[in-house]
Amino acid sequence: MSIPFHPTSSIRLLPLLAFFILGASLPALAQVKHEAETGVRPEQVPGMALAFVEFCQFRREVRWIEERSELGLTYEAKARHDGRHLSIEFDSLGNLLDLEVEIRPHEIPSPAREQVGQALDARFSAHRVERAQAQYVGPEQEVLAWVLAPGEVAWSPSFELVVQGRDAEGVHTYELLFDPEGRLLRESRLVLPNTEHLDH
Amino acid sequence: MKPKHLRPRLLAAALLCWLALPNALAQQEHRSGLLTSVNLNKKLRQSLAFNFKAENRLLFWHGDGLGLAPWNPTYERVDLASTLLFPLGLGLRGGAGYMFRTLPGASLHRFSAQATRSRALHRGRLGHRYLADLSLRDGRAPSWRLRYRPLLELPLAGDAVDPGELYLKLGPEALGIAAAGELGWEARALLNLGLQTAPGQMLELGLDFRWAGVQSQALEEGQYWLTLSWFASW
Repeated sequence: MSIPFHPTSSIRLLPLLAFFILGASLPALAQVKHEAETGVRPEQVPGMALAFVEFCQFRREVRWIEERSELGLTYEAKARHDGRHLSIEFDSLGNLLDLEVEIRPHEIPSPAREQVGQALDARFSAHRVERAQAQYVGPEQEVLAWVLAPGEVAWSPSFELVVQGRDAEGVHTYELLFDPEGRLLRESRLVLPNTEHLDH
Repeated sequence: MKPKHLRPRLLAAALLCWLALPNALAQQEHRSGLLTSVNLNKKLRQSLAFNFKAENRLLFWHGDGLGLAPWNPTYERVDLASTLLFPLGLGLRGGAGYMFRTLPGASLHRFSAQATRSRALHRGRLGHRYLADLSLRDGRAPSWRLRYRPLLELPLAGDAVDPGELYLKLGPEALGIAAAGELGWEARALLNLGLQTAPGQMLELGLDFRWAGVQSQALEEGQYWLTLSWFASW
């Protein structure tokens, strides 16, 4: 969007400009997230990402997903390991971004769990956690150490929750990221696929 | 998160279909043909939605016993259904609908109430539909039905279906029927191959199997339909 500039009208434009700046900063906390992903073969994945996952020596098959979102192109390796679903995300060059391990909401340690609960109660009039993940961001060696010996590496993960919540705008599904202490860092409203073909 | 509480219902519905199989093989009456449908869904304000469905049935074979019936293409019926959808709670959607069916020389009115919910799995989505309806037709006793259908959408590429991608849609359905003091049952199974042609638009080709029986009579019927469906949502 372009705003026509005129020296005499610049002062009148200031509130408008401030509004747009404020508006542009809001998505950092609340944005709409569109994701398009598709399965890819290992040959289509950046070599560094493939090498990292081979190091992990997962016993079961690894599925590779190419994901496009507002954040750009990423690759995810999805596997089941040590009884849990986990996903390792890489950027388009194959650099490690994070490791996400599926957990149950009650596995979030105290006092972060209470903080998360309070944040959800404050944010929504009603809510239901659909999925919870512990998110690890760190050097490759540390992530690899966690994968090879889960439970033996002391880490403080962030927590990513997919929550169905009701607020003044109605019922929507959100992806919320909390820091290890349970403070809300980021909120995205998810654009979910249509389900009419399952309903009718 | 694994929806463990859903597993018993899935197993019960699958078991019902399995139990119906011997009956289907020994059925006295069978029908086969083409079932085409157009399904339009318009989102309204305040989480409301309106659904319109038109379904057409063309009968190719209709026979008794296990023998192959002669090819005899016949128009069977057209259904025009509309449903108003509204939120019932977190993740649960309600619907109130009316359907008008034209049959050769007759018509039928059906009023329905439904509740649906769906959730994402690690791969694909699982939807549930609970439906109750009342059918009214001239010269016949009113017929009540209770239906439950779990339906699995399984993407053939990735974990979710995106435009240009194929998916499988499969699931059983169990129906209980009450009419004129008689109780009946019907079991259905659905297997569709779908393509999301554009955001909110899906084209499906598949098979729809139906086995029906009436408790107090020996009459049993099997139906085998080739289905072609188009879904559009905006």
